Amino acid sequence: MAAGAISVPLEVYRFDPAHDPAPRYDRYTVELEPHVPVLSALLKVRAEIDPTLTLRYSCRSAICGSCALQINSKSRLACETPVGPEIERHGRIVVEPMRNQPVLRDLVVDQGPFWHQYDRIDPHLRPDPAHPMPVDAPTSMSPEQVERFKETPRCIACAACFSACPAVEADPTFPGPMALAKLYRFVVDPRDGTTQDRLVRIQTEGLWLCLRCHLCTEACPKDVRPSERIRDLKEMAIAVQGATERGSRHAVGFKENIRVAGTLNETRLVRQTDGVVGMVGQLGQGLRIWRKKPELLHRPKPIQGQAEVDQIYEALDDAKGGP
Amino acid sequence: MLRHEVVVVGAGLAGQRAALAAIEAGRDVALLTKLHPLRSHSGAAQGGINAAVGAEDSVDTHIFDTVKGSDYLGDQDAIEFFCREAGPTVVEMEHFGTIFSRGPDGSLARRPFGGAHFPRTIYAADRTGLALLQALWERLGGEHLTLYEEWDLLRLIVRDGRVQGVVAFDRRRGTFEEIAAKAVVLATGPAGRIYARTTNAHSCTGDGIALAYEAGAALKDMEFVQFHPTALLESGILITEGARGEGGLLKNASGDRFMATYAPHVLELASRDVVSRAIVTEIGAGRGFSGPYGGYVHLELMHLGREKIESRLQEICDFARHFAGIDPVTQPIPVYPAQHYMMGGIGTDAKGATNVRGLYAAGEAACVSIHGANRLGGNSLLETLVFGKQAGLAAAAYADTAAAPEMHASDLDDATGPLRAWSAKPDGEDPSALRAEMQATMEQYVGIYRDEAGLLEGIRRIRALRARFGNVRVVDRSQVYNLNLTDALETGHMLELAEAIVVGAYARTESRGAHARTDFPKRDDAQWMRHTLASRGPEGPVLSYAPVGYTRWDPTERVY
Amino acid sequence: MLTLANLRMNDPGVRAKVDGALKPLGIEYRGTVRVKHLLRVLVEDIGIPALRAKVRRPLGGLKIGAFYGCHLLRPSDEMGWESGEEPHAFEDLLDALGAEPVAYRGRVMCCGFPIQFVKPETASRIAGRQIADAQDHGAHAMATPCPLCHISLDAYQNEASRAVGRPLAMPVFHLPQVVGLALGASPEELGLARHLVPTEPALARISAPART
Ligand SMILES: Cc1cc2nc3c(=O)[nH]c(=O)nc-3n(C[C@H](O)[C@H](O)[C@H](O)COP(=O)(O)OP(=O)(O)OC[C@H]3O[C@@H](n4cnc5c(N)ncnc54)[C@H](O)[C@@H]3O)c2cc1C
Ligand code: FES
Repeated sequence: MAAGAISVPLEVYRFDPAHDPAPRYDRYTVELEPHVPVLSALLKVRAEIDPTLTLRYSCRSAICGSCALQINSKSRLACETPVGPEIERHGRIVVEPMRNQPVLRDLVVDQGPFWHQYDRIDPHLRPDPAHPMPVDAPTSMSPEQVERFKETPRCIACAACFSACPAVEADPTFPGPMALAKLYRFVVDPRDGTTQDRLVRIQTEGLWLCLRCHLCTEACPKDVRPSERIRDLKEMAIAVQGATERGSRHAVGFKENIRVAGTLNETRLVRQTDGVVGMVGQLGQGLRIWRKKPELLHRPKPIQGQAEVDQIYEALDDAKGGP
Repeated sequence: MLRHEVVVVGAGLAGQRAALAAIEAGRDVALLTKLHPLRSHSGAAQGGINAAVGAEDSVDTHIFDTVKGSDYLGDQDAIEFFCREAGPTVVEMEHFGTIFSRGPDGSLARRPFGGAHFPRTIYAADRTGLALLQALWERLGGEHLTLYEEWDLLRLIVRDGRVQGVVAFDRRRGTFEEIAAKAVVLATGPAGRIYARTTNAHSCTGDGIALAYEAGAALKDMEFVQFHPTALLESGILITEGARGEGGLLKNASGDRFMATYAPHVLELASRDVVSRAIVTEIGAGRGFSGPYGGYVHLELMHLGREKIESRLQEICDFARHFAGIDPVTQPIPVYPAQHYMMGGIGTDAKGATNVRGLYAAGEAACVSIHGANRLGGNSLLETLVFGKQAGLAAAAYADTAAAPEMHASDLDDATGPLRAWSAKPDGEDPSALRAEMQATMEQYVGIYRDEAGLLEGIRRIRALRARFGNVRVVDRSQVYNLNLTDALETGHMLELAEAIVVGAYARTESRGAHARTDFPKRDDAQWMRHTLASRGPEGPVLSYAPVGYTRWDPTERVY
Repeated sequence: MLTLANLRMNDPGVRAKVDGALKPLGIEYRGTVRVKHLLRVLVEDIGIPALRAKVRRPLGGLKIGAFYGCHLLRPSDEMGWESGEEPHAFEDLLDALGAEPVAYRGRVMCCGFPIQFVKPETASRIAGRQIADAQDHGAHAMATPCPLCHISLDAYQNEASRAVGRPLAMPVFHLPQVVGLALGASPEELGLARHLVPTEPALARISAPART
């Protein structure tokens, strides 16, 4: 045992669908220094206690994206998560496979759903035939243009974000954080000639299903910040196409609402998002709420100083060069 | 049975580039890989890729630096071709979408690297390998390609002197599969896990090299193994030269800057092999630190100050904090030299062809040889792309005219019989224990310094381990993702290669590049300016020698 | 949200734009506003011990699933407060009020509200998952500091129940309501009758005697 080692109790999800009727949790205890990553703990179990424990790993340096799993319910890279703080906080380490991808065995999941979403966003550079790349020379790109990619080139496709995302969990049509961050990478690439098409297409293919919960940004080991890039995509989509979808109409309607009254008018917002026909669908709900909270559905009086609010909007519109 | 014209094994940069070339040549191509392509070890390369594109630089200087770096064991004709292809290759990767770092004028940014006259290493922040791998996969993924993902190559089927196909293992379903192929390209990457201390990923087990060897291909220059002086203690994770470039100091246990003894002028900035040897000498003389992970020295950055460390050495900082629990702002980083790169590999010509018809190889698994006795940083990423493409083209051309392959009914059973026997045993050797013993043996006897007595002991021990491997046992009975089985497979492969390395090292009675014999400290051009070729015989490797390709650079002493 | 807006105001470009728009009105943003959520004020400025001392009607016997809401926590590096995935302030507070906090994964998840107007079925499924999770871990009620989470979890609980295909009957309190209850305010004062999911079953669980 190395100096300063602590005792690390592990509870590891075990399941071989071909042999086991149900998943179980196996307990192991290993002695390790606190800075040692969970991956080393699992490999120690494999080498010294149970060689049948199954997981994906390769680089052990947070670059190959193989070893994402759940550590005490958080989606993390096993090779980059030290045991010490987990033990301090939870007294043990529960290790489970990632979510939102079916388990093949133990900690290994079938990444099919993840790669399917990645393929859906057309992850290929599509240069504009009208503007061919220079012959025998690299494209010129300023450091500022490189900056626009933000941290998206750091993505290692580990799927930790995909595992952490509640929208992915609830809706198979949502591309998920990684695919959308990858889309962003193509949209801001000056070499890509299909930026507009990409933005128009994603408006109807799941962009607006992002919940802005930022769980992806918490989980991402590379600080790609997918939720923030999705926000950028939304802004860019509205800029190229206008508010054509329920999601974008809601966003724009929200803004217009404030302009008109200085406060939210829920009924009006629903009408702007869903149109009058769509609104009928919300009627039953509206009635139930109205019985308990009548003030919600009243048209709120414009606030004092509404005129000033309008003035601010005007100034901002002018700054942008027109409404 | 599955059938393809060309099967490329390995989906790192070399394999992907080969597949793309073969597809563009009109062939039906399958890509077979034990890791998802984006998880290949190429993604771990940080520093950059060489191309003499700067105004002050020239292709000739790149050629000269590479020839000299190789300690005159590189083939000069191949090196000339290689360096001429560098510019077009990097431009092509840029057009494929690689997000390179840029200079203020919009050009590709370049950084200086060891052994190069000019800053010629083009980079993408501290993740050049990842940037290239992403761009190439984004390009290749748009082509018509069959991907066998998480499949392990088990055997090459060679009959009548030519390749007929492969047998593989589908990790996820646990099934054995045959693929008939006219041509096979091996691009299975490094073999660093033969050593206990390595900067390489766990998956770098030299499978393709060993299977080519088994199938009759000759291995070239296996004794040349590059060690990187500064790897993190325990994990072996690479701390790049940048740390010393920015002013990092190496100190022994008495707090002395020991490089003053070994390279009084350049100190810490001496070349990789010099620094690695210095560290080993210090530790061997009892002047290093020692702990549960063996001897080590300190890499000190503290004097540079928090701001410089955190801005200029961001990735090193993260690595030290995440993987060693060390804060380089306030603490020295414990480092030791670790295996980093295999100059040797499957012997090929500059078209990627091996001595087996229909079998091609590229990337770190292959040996052309452009690195000779010592690789220069930034040349191996370039090698994967330049020679990956060549191998893909050559395989496609061969497959275009080759007769249909012939697989026999017995091929599958022959290849998988031994594996099934491993699982049927009531008891036997644990593959990970054998692996650990092999790693320790190679570390101790075939490491940075070598001598006759140690190499003989190494041969004896590796042979004993090979004998024990005959009784290896797999305890995991599951079909799905059986790592115990792949552990055993990989261990078997590495033992084959370990033997080729140690036997080659024993025979080469000189010191050249990364091969340092304390009993033969001088380079001996008269006798040894030639490549080692190892073929697999019943009693172990059979060595022969081949001349070095020579064009215009006469050997001189390699001093920097 | 306001915390993030405040952070963005540190960007000189954004600041110039906003000040440009405010100028005609004779207003300027000086960046002196500190944004702090009620929950944070309760645990940091008032403090757990002080709150504990003020409790009149301890919520003993009541198991509550704290439901944080996303924007209070994340992105945690910008919010600069609790862990974005493993916070404990709300549980600490509930404990001080005498209630029994329930540990469940859904407590830090999204309530689904942001896409209520985009795809109600999905929004409801998300809300349903979190409510069901709390229920499965024994919660008698949930409590949230976010008014939008409250709409999603309470007003839309019917839809949520349908979306996850199981009955849900989970009273959901606003943060000030649980504090108010423990400090002795009456259910009427707290407007508990105006919830869509009746709160009485939860109130009936409170077993500790009121302190005077
Ligand atoms: C830490 C580190 C940093 C480096 N930095 C640099 C640098 O800055 N510049 C530079 O030029 N070089 C660098 N190198 C070296 C360089 O990265 C490698 O030499 C190069 O990437 C190897 O590429 P490859 O395509 O040959 O192999 P890899 O990228 O390793 O790919 C091997 C492929 O083979 C597959 N495979 C292996 N075995 C099997 C099997 N049995 N069956 C099926 N598939 C199999 C794997 O799945 C993988 O897809 C670095 C190396 C390391 C370790
Ligand atoms: S093992 Fe590669 S990312 Fe963890």
